[in-house]
Order: sequence, then C-alpha cells, then structure tokens
Amino acid sequence: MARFVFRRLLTLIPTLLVISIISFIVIQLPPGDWLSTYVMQLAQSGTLVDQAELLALERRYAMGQPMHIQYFRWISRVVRGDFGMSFEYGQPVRELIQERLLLTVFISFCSLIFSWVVAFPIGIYSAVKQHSMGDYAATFVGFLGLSTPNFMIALVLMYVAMQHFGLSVGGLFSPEYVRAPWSAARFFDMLKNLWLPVIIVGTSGTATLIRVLRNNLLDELQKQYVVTARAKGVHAVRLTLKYPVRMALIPFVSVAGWQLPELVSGEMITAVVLSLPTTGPLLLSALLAQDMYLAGGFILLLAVLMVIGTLLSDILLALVDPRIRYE
Amino acid sequence: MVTAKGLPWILRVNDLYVEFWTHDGVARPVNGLTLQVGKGQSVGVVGESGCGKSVTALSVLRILPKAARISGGKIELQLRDGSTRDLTQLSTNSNEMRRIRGGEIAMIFQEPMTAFSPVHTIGNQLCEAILLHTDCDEKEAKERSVESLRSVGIPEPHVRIDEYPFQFSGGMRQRAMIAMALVCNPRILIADEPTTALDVTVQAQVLQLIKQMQSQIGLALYLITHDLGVIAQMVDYVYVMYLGCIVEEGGVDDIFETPLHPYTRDLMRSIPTVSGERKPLSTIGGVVPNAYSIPSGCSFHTRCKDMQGEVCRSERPAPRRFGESHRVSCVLYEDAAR
Ligand SMILES: Nc1ncnc2c1ncn2[C@@H]1O[C@H](COP(=O)(O)OP(=O)(O)OP(=O)(O)O)[C@@H](O)[C@H]1O
Ligand SMILES: [Mg+2]
Repeated sequence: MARFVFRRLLTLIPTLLVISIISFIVIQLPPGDWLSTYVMQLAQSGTLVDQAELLALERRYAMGQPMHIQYFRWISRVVRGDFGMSFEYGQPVRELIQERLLLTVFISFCSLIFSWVVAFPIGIYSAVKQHSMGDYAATFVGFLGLSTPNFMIALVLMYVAMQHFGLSVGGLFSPEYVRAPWSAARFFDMLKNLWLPVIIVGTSGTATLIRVLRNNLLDELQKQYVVTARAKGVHAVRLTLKYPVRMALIPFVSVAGWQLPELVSGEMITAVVLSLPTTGPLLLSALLAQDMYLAGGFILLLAVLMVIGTLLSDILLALVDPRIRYE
Repeated sequence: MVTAKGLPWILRVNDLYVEFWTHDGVARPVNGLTLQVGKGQSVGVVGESGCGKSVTALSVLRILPKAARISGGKIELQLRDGSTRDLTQLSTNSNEMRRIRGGEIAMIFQEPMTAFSPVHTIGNQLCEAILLHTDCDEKEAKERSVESLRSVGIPEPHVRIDEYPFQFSGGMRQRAMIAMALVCNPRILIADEPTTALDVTVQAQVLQLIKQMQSQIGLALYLITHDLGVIAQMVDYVYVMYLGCIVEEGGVDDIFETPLHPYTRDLMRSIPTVSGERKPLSTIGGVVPNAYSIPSGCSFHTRCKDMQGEVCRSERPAPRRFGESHRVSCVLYEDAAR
C-alpha cells in the first residue's frame, strides 16, 4: 500500500507541472504585459505612477525577459504563496482567494458527503428491491435531480425557503457575521446557512451516484460469489453488505474522483445565484475583467485541488480493491 | 426406506417442480424430478446443458434466484439427529435453512475464478463459514482454515490464507473451494461440474481430491456433470436427466453396459472413443427444446430415434424397474419390465 501511494505521488509531479504551465499561459494570454495594463489603469484613474516603483515591479516580475525565465520567477513565488496582485482589487491575490477557496472546498466536501449519505442507502434499496414501488420512485426522483440544472434548483429552493419557511437565504452568513472575524459562533452560523448550497450542489451528483450504485449492485447480485456465500449459509442482509455492496463500491469510489470537478463547477454557478462569498463569483468577475493574476491563481489552485482530490479517491479505491494495490 | 444399494438415504428429492417467472413467460427447468442420495454414497447426475441440473441443486439448498419458485414436490433431508426435514417447507433465509447450508449440505461450483469474492482474502471467506457453523472464535477459525487448506494440498497454507483469490491459480482456487465447502463437516457435498473449467491434468487432481476427501469423512457426493468419463470414474450410481426429469437411473455398470433409454444410448455414443476423438453432447440429433416449452408426453419424443408414435407424444412414461436398481422411463420397455 505504501508503495502504491508513493508511486501515485510520483505521477503527480508531471501533472502539477503541466497545470502550472497552463495557468501561466492563461496569465500571459491577454495582449500586452500586465504591467503596462496596470500602469494604464493607474493613469486612467489619474494616479501618478512612481517610476521607481515601476522599475522595481518590472524587476520583480522579470518583465521583458524570455518566457521561461518569467515562468520560473512566477512559479517560484507561487510555491512560496505569492500569487501576484489583482489589479481589479489592488490587493494580493492570495488575500482575496484564501478564505473563498476554503469555503468552496468546504461546501464541495459537504456536498460530496451529503450525496454519498443520501445515495448509498437509496442505491442499495433500489437494487435489492428492483422493480418495487420504492425503486421506481427513487429512479424518478433521481432522473429529476439529474436533469434539473443547479441554478434552477437553487431558485426553487430559495423561493420555498423564503416564502414558506421565512428563512433568510443568499450568502453563507447572517448579516451580523458577514464582516466578523472567524469564531466558533461565526462557524456555527455558517453551518446553519450551509444546507441550502450543499443540497443544491449535491443534488445532481446524488442522482448520478444512485444510478451508478444501483446498476453496479444489480450486476454484482448476479455474480457467482453471491451464490457461493449463500451456499455457505450467510444471512441475506449481511451477505449483501459484505459482498456485492463492497464490490459495487469500487466503481462508486472511482466516480467520486471525477465527481469533484463537477462539484466545484456546480458550486460556482450556485455561488453566483446564492451570492455566496466563495470562489465562483470572484473567478467569474476576474475572467470578465481580464484580471489575469487573479484568474491564473484561481485556475492553478482549483486544478491542484482537483488533482489532490483524484489522488485521494485513487487511494480510497486501492483501499477497497486489493487488485489495484497488487498490480 | 433404503437406496438402491442398500444404504439408508440422507437426501430424497420427490416429484420436484421448479418454475422461473420471467419476461418471456414461465420456464419449467425441473419437471417432476425424483432422486435419492444414500449416506456416504456417490451419485452422479448427467445430462445435456440446460436440462436443469444446476437448478435442481440450487433448489436443494434453497438458493434459487428470486425469479424462481418451487411449485411442487418435496426435498427431504435426514438430519444428524435422525429426524427428517422437508426443505421446501423452510423459508430460504430462516436460521434452520442457513444451518443446513454449509453445515449439512455444502456445494462447490463450476467457476473457481468467480466463485470467490475477489476483494476478500481466502482466509476471510473460509473463516466466515467456520464462524457461522461452529462456536469457534476467530483465532481457532483461522487455525482450522489453515488446516483445511493443508488437507486439500495447498502448499504453505499459513501464507496463502492471507492472499486474495486472484493470487491463486484455477486449480488452487478449486482446492480452496473444496476446503471451504468441507471445513464445517457437511454430510453431503454437491459438486456442480467442479472440473469443467479446469485443464485436463488439474481436472484429474481435483477429482482425485474430491474422492479422497469423500472416503476420509464419509461424505455423500452429489456430482453434476455432462462428462460421462467423470461419471464412470467418480460415482456408483447414475441419474440421467433430460429436461428436468430423470429418464433413467442405475448403477454405473448398468448404465454403461446396458443403457436402455434412447437418450442414454445417444449420450453413450458421444463418449470419447479410444482414438481420443470427442464429440460434444449436442451431436444428439435435433434441437434441445427450451424450458419455456417442454414437449408433452415423453419430453424426449421430439428427438427420439425410437419414437413409437402417438403414445410418446401424449403419455408421460412411468419408471419401470429392471433388475435390482436399474430403472427407465420409456414406453419401449413397457412390457419387458420385470
Ligand atoms: N436465472 C434464470 N432465469 C430464467 N431461467 C433460468 C435461470 N436459470 C436457469 N433457468 C432455466 O433453467 C434451465 C436449466 O438451467 P440449469 O442451469 O439448471 O442447466 P444445467 O443443466 O445446469 O446446464 P449446464 O450444464 O449448462 O450447467 C435453463 O435452460 C433456463 O431455461
Ligand atoms: Mg449448470
């Protein structure tokens, strides 16, 4: 197992390299270098540009040097946590991103847990009681969840929550906590507001998982090893959970790997609709405003998160399927 | 009542009917099947593919698929304490039925490749059986598992026990399967084509092993196969099955020397000859009718070379006795029966 994880970590290196190069290209994409854009913006707003400062910046970002040198300058600063400046906000990218990224990860993670917790029993029930009313109901609701866009679910749920339950929706924090520093009270306040985005982001993933689990389990229930275990005298419920469900989990876990990107992008759209202080709206505006250090930093971090997520799901996969770790 | 060879019976299937309710209609793979297994006896069931051999075995253990139900007949088992149970009356998941499965009757299967769960160690799957049927704790169960792997000739059992099925060869897996079936000292072993999926040399070893285990622990063997060579080598008493009924039964010598039923005789003709030429069983003329439309009367009449006319189409022949233990169900012998 340790060897498996080590090998898997090694393969991470080229992936990360490629991701960083792509992010760098994104930063370089707009015509002209960002410094002249920055100077132009400052000039437009009537601020005087200090030549000394300009020179310092130029040196710092290796402006005018060959591409690869610029890349190395940039990446060595990124590794130390310096993602450059956002001209839109005139703040370091890192400050802008940090909290939002954590929230995005947190919401996506909660959505993942939510979709597993919901999909798991429903999927098993659907397969074990195939063609029952419950199975049909689960399939119907599942398809509904799958085919309804997230923003639609968001709008409907917001409407229902406000109209019928008088809840304040939109945002992650109650008004009194929006600007407050982190504290236990603020965290609990966030948890109170979390359910809405979590349900919205998790719904389509849940529907996919139910279908995946149900179909896998239906396959597995036919297998010879199930008959063998029955012939041994194992109790039906125990048998189902120990053998076919365990087997059906294998593709379930690998689905979770590529579910992550979907979750994060789903979270972005939802965040815009619900005006959540997460990465989605910020990335969107950064892209629209060609705020390239901000956008590049975002893309880099999200991609890295995705890679880490996939790594985790691979390790999980190797844990549930011995055939993978012995390969 | 005793079996034909004078042994007291341990398993008795009487006029069994099994139906499958599917989208295509009702399949009837078992139609009034009657057979017996004596204590410590080895009995073979032979017939073409699809004639209901496996379904019969699964009915005995009450592990038929959901779509299937036993629609008639009795399956009587003599328990260790001498009392008799009709297994058709027990519910599939009841404690008593689960005690019988693995505890009284064990089964091994054709596909050693798929018969184990690929994600659990061999030891885990063996211990499970022991923990289910005995009062052993985990440690004792593991010791017993190692012992049983050793007894079926698996080298270094204390190492192999922690390995996964995909680390075993086909032959080794089938050995492990036998170990798992026998680890709780059942009194009947149902072996459903245990060697069909193995290559020839391994086949001989596995058959040898089954025989050896059988004589060691006085186990009754219920061997399913479509290979008459295996039958000749392994069992004393043969049931010839066609479309879910027994058309002929008798000691191996009776069946091989004086096959009576036209179907048995066709089967005999498909045995490999000395020259090694081997024709598949399907060389018997005509198409095998499927279980959804079992022919009326004698179900073999659609392919029979000795068809006697209307009577074969309309009347189901009753079994006639020939000599001590030889029985055949065919109108040809209506008058000749003794
Ligand atoms: N799961 C099932 N669903 C529907 N019909 C089935 C099912 N299993 C078996 N049958 C029916 O029962 C018939 C007998 O099947 P069975 O597996 O007992 O044959 P067999 O004699 O064991 O053949 P083989 O030598 O190929 O193993 C089949 O032809 C089929 O029509
Ligand atoms: Mg079969």
